[in-house]
Amino acid sequence: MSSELTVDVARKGEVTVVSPVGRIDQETAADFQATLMDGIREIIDGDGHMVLNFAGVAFISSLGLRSLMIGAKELRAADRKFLIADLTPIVQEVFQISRFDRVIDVHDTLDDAMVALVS
Amino acid sequence: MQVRFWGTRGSISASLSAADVRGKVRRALQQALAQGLTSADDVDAFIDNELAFAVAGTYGGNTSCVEIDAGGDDYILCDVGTGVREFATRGLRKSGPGRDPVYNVFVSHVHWDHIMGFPFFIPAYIPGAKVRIHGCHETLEQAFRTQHSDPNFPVQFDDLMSSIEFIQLDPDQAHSVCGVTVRAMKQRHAGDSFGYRFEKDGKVVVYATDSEHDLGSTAEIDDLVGFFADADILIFDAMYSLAEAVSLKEDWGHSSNMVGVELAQRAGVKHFCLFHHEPLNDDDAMSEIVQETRRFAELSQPEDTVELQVSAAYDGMEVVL
Ligand SMILES: [Zn+2]
Ligand SMILES: [Zn+2]
Repeated sequence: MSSELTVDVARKGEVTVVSPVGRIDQETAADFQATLMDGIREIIDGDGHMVLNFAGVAFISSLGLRSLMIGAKELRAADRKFLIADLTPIVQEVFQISRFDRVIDVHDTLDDAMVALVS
Repeated sequence: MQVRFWGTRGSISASLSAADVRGKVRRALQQALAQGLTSADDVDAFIDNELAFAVAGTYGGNTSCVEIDAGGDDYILCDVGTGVREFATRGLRKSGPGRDPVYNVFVSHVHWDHIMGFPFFIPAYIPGAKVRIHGCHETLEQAFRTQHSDPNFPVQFDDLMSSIEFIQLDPDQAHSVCGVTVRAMKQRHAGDSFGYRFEKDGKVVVYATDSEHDLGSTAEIDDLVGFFADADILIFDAMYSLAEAVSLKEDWGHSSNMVGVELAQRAGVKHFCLFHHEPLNDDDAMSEIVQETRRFAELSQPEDTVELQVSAAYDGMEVVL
């Protein structure tokens, strides 16, 4: 299965919104992690938090989930927030099977996540 | 070849309580009442076909012990956790008058849960019985001797009446035992552990327990895929959820169902078997994990590949290859 992934990074106020589109798996996870960590470093050096908009993610493998954990740990250690929003049904299943739904802050929509950051 | 599981629980044995059994009986009766069963045959069919495994059975509580039956007169066992007591009680089909089998043991590592059954392995006490303990750790013999010494156990190792031999294996070389080719692979675990690949007549069994996997290391993952390649059954340490394995329990030396499925699919494994079950997981939790693992295998199945068979080992399970 050849995998494609594009990752859009945008700044909304003090929140960095990362929007991957495609599959985060064996083939794409390394690039995804690199983009994620660039964003995280900027946040830690500057200010703000990170929200991942997962509306466009069709599938995530264990390697992709591991990137999320690495990112979440970095930001938590710097007392910043790391939120994920808008899981597609299949990714939601993978979150449940992996028990990532118990260790990562997941929100139904991007708006919900943004609201959670200010409240 | 045939694989028989005598102990499948990870880290420490975990038996059912009276309350657990009562819960199973209650659920079975509730379901049975609705069916109005009359004959004994109906009852058997109901148990076998209607009741869930978590109600009608149990994954069991003995620690690691797996028998690889390659035919022939001798035995092959992977690890001698508490399950080996069951093997010595019910599994000695090749022993008896006029028979002289060799008990070949392959030790993944000498953590307690993998050797603690040996003091209750009856053949070790029988004069003339031949026990050959294979392993890749220099501390192999010392660990067995320490377990059988004061103040740990009343019978000293040197008082065991069988003939016990320790055989140091080189993991870089193939070995031949009972007509089976055996290869070992070093695994990521405190103090190291070793997986074993058994091959005979084109059939392959891989026993890979007590191993953590560094997903970020391409070389490590490639080595594992090579070691698991085309296995008819992969017996895999899936003790934790992926979330636990990469967060709270990182570096605790165990893997997850999801990583196992991905490795198995890349390696072209036919049957993926969850093993070294977390003692905290009761039968319902285990059944849920099996269902979820099957679903994940569906979701992650690469194009143009055959479906991966997924099961969770239970004490008493037999798999014919
Ligand atoms: Zn163990
Ligand atoms: Zn261990």
